[in-house]
Amino acid sequence: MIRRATPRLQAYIVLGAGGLLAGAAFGRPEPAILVAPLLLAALAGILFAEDPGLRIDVTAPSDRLLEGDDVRLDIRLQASRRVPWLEVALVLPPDLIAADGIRARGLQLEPGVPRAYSVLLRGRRWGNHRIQGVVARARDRLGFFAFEARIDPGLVLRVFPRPESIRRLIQPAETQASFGNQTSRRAGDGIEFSGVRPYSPGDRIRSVNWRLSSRRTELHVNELHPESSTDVVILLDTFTDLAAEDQSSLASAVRAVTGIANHYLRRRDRVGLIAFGASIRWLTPATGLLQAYRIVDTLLDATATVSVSWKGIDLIPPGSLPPKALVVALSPLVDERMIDALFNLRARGFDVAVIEVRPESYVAEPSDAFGATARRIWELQRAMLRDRFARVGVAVAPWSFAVPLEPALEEISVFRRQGRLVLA
Amino acid sequence: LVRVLLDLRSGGLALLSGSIGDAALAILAAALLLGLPRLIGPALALLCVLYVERLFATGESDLGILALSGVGILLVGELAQWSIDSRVSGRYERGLHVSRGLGLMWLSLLGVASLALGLLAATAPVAGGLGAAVVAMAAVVAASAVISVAARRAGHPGREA
Repeated sequence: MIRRATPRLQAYIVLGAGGLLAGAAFGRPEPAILVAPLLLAALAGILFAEDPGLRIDVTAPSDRLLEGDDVRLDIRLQASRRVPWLEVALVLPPDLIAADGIRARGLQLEPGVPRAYSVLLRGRRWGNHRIQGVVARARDRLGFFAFEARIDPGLVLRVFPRPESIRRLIQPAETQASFGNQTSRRAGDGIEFSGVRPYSPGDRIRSVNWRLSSRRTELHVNELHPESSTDVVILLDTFTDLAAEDQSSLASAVRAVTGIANHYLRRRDRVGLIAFGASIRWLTPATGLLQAYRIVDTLLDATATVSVSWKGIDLIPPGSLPPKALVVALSPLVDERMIDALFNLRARGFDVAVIEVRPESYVAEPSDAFGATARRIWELQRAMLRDRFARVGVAVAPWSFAVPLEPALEEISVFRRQGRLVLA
Repeated sequence: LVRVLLDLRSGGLALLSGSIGDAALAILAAALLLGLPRLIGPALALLCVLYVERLFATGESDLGILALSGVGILLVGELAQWSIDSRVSGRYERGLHVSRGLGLMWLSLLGVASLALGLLAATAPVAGGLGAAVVAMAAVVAASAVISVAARRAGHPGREA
């Protein structure tokens, strides 16, 4: 522990010396007698100051929690000498707060008697949050010295994003060959009725539609839609993170990604993730609970760092973008590199849908006429961008953190249904 | 304390002692309001100056005022520091303040005892002349230096205890 003298001790000694000198210089005892209590207090402070031999242990029963949930942190203290005044404070990252708002405690310790208390910590935002330290300050009996120590508990709390609740998802245009829960557009073995066709050698007898065949001169068989799986690649824009108060576009997008990924994985679809930004992180599509954990792990490290280098989709490993995959992008659509990547993906034949994390939610309302005009021009430019996407068959649904994700997904589904009708 | 120490015998003296007293109160208020313990020392120094000014202006030594000033200055310093120490936001056990209060009481008793001893020593007849005064002054300076060195060593910021 580091021992520090309080400024009061120095002041007492200086005043004491000054009083003694004044008494001697003027030949009168009163100034010396006046400062005698100060000098005696300083002497007593120096004599009684002892290192308390403090020991601090910090443990957390669990290091994982969901956004908004609480986790308990146990702090155990023990001292070899009596500590009449001990202050213990936690140094927390900004996104981890004390649930009751109290980070510091003041308590007493008896020699050799351990004391423990718990602090409830709340994860405000997803991410890996390191508890930066525990600071302890023990004062001696007279408060002239402070013994300070700072320990690094080495604890990292993993705060998982709270997924957006979703009931319906975007149906992909194409499915994969493997078995799944998504009704394929192709004809084959399945449950959903597709149509009838004349019998051809090799067709199974149980597929024959006897009612229709009895009215015709030849046999007809039923055709069915097989249930196939889907490859879904979620493209997360990490070029930009727009923030306002305690909300940010990236934080909202990550919550949406978690919800979407979990939903597709529950349907036994293969889900991949590409965090596309200054650094590119990816997960090749896979299915199962393990993939859900991998996705969350990858998202916990997602941050938007400033970069001016041009990055295109050529940098994305081909394995992470399988053919016929549905690409669901979450982006505020303010970075040219992301916009260009989305157009490129569409030009390469990928089925692309964009959930636009509305940047308007993070921009202050204009305060004057000039600002209002600029805002209007910007909104028109954004409308033009959405129109450009619509013309190449990419649905763009604006979404804000203040509203559920469901309407945005429905908007994309409606666009895609109408698009098919027009194309037919 | 400032009111007791004010010298109101003439307009000029009242202005002088009043200014010193006001300055002491202003610095103490700043220390308390801003939570700056470094300002406690200057405030106490001004209170000491106020007493010395009264002592030399009147020339009379009132033991009651001396005792009140000595313990009063100590209490002002201790209470101000206690107030600033309690400013850290958090949950504090009641026992902490009880313990601090007991410590302060103990210190006050020590202060009273030291005052009594000082007064006894001052009234004791000491033989000598200018030479004895010079030796006494040297002893005082040496004692102050020893205390300062001890305090400095004890309070060295980089020292691991």
